[in-house]
Amino acid sequence: MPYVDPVLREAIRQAQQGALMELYTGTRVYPQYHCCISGNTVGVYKDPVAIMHADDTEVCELTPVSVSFDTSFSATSTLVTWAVDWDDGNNSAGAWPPPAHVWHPAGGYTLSGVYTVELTITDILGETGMAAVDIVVIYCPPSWPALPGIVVGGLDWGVAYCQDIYASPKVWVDLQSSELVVAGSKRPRCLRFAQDINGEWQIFMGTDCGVYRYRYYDPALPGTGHWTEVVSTTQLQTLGGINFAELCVWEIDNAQDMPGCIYAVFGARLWPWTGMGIVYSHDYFDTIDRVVYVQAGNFPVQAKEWQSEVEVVQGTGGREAWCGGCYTANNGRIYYTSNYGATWTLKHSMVSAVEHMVISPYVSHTGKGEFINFMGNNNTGKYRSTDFGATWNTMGAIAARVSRGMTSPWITDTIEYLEAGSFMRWVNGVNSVLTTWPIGGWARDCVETGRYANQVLSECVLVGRIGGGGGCIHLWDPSMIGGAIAGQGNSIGNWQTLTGWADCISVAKLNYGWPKE
Amino acid sequence: MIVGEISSLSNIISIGADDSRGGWEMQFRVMGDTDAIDINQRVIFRWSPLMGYEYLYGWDGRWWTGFDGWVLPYRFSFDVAGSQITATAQTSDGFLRRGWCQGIGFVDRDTTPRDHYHQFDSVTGVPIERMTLGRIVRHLLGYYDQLGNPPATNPDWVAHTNLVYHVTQNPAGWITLDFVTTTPFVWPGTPDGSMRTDRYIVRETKNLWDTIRQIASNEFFVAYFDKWDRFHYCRHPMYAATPPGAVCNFDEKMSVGKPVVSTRLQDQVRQVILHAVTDTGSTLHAEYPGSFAWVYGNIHEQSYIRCNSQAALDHWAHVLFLYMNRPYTVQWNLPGLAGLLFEINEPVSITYTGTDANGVHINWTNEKFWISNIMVYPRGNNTSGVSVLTLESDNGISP
Repeated sequence: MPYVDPVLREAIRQAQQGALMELYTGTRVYPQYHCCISGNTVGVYKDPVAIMHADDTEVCELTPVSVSFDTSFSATSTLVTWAVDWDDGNNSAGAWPPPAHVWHPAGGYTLSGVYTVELTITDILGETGMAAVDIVVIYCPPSWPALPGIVVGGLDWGVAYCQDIYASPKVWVDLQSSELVVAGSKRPRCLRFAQDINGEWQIFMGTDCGVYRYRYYDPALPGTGHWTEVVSTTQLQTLGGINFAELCVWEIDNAQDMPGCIYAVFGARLWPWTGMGIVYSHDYFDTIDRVVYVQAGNFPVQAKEWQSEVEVVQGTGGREAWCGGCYTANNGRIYYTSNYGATWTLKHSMVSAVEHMVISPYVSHTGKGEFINFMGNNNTGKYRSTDFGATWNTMGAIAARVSRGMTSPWITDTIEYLEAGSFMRWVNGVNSVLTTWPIGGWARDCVETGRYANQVLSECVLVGRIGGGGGCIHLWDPSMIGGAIAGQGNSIGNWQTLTGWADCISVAKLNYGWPKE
Repeated sequence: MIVGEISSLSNIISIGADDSRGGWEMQFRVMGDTDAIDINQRVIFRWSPLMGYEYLYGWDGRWWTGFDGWVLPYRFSFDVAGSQITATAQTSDGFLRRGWCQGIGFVDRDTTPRDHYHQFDSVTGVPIERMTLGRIVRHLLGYYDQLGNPPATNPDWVAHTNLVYHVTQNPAGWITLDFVTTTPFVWPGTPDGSMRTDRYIVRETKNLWDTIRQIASNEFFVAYFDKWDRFHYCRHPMYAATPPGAVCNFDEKMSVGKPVVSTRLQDQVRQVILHAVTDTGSTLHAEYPGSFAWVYGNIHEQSYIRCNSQAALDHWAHVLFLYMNRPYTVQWNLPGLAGLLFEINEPVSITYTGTDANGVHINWTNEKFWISNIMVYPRGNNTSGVSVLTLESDNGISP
């Protein structure tokens, strides 16, 4: 009995059941037929012979693309010129010989589609040869690390990013916010971009329910594409009995980008990513002093209250991490480490708690980098350093302060920006105050009275240029219902309400979302 | 490379191949978008059995490529509400049918080194490449000659078309020469090699495919494109020294509708006469049967054959006689798109015995046939179909 392929028989049998069918289209081809040259000439081509291929026949929009055709030739004549029509209005041309790769002159195609790139070569007799190749241009969604902003959502604190913060309408992409909702949770506190040595981008978000990390989806890496908890509230509560954590996560960027360079500060402790150590923290609303120990990197002092700020500084010896907080009553300090927390050195002793630090790379008229430090509720407690913390000078007092019935309003946020005529702004719940370099004097840039009574300006962020000048957008306390207000320019007034919570949130959190580098 | 999918816009009318054409063809419609396809654009048809496919040891829901070809100039009609393209796509034989070639006098100069690429010799290259019909076909289509000089420009990309793909010399090409037989025929050592010849004239043509097919027929080869657009140049399986066995056996369980058996006259050709030229310029002749089978009848006489072996020529004459006097042509219907699992000139077999109920008096057990035509008709909005195979009886060609 002759051999009969059982596979084939089975396939035929299954074919009785009907089939799914698909039809695909591919690229075009351009068949050509060549003639010989009479005489003793070798080769069988009609002169000139254009031979071209695309280095990539499928590319993303705005991606450099090139063709190669330097193997084109003439067996009987001399080539003199070449010309490439990119089929989108762009052309390239030159004298022979061409470079090994001829690149699209506009840096790539701006619109998706199929483009027929045509090459024409010409010899000294004016004879031409042509070749063509199709290039398929597709739309490639940007990877989110390049996106302009990260937003932390509203009352159910989802996380989404906006593909273009200035587009209208904005397009938001949810980073699987459902994984972050924890019953009874409050709201997120801070977040940071971080990038490791492999260029992989991650988001670290501190919340009052722990620390989460989001790694951009990579099918080859497990655990990517969704939020993973890295520090849980259970851990916090077990160790410190806290029910609220002030988290601030940041990255020390360095040449090695070691895993331990992600530091988190929560409660009263600074600790490296790879080792939790012993954690102590305390309730945000607890006014009882507690002695807490900082374990990470042999931090040398006892912290009385919370350590509220960490920043990465380009110090004289390289990258440093500055950690500022309040260590004893009425005594704030800043310590720094340049070896990932192995040792800490006192940078400055302040007269009040370190509420915020703003590290500005601004090059002043002195030609030096500027380091600014703000403290507490004391209108004399604002300091700056221009020599990497070796010496400190006060920034001066505000001319007037309006408390609006709130006692000792704490500075809740600080930003710096380098627009012409403006240098720094801080808010303290009811005031927006700014200063301009190099005067150092402060001017209150107040919101409209009566409009926002009993509400708290909790954050102060800047989004580029608004209205042609430097602008500041104040975010309401997220627990309040409402939007936000925005200011234009540097003068008092011109405050306006932003429409839409998403707009407010996105703009407000933009500052957090920017990568460090 | 896939550019897009037009499954939702399209409707396949038929996919098929015929031995006389040497390639596959698909007819289809595209609705509602006259830019969905373009002339000379690649189209690929894929299918998968709805119920999966149990391959001996487990379910295998694979997708099959049923056709891979290129769109011919098409037409479309339209009204205010919509449009419809009616198009045909063919494998690359469609291009070659519209391709031209100059007249070329090929020659093998033996111990005199070649001057150019229309010449072969016995001294250039390691290994040396003497002229065969397969190498002529290769030259016409395109190849990378690296045998060394002469000519002084070697290595050279040598071609009369731009269809053949080469990673460095012609990356824009799209067909392969992997299935082209170029090695020389030797009887009985390599009986299915390509015939050596010292002189061969390729006449100027405006149908390069016809020229290639003619070269193939001159040595009882076949030139064809399979459904995946791969070019084959090889001994016609019927004339192979050892014909291949049936790839599948059809029985009544594998039939839909009604098979049709066409009986044929078996005394149409009383003798086959073949005239061949050897590479040295001498002639060979073969006749089968040696004396006329019948007093009257047709004689099939064929010339321009290239053959260097009397035994081979005798064999071909015998096979041709049997084929021309075969008793049956059968139309066998397979379910669904099963026809896309076969190729032209593949052998299959049929096992069937008639019954008293249907009064069919055939008793076939693994009766061998050769596929000469395949037509597949998708139906039911591209979810089912029927395949019609035309089978030519073997008639003893296979031992």
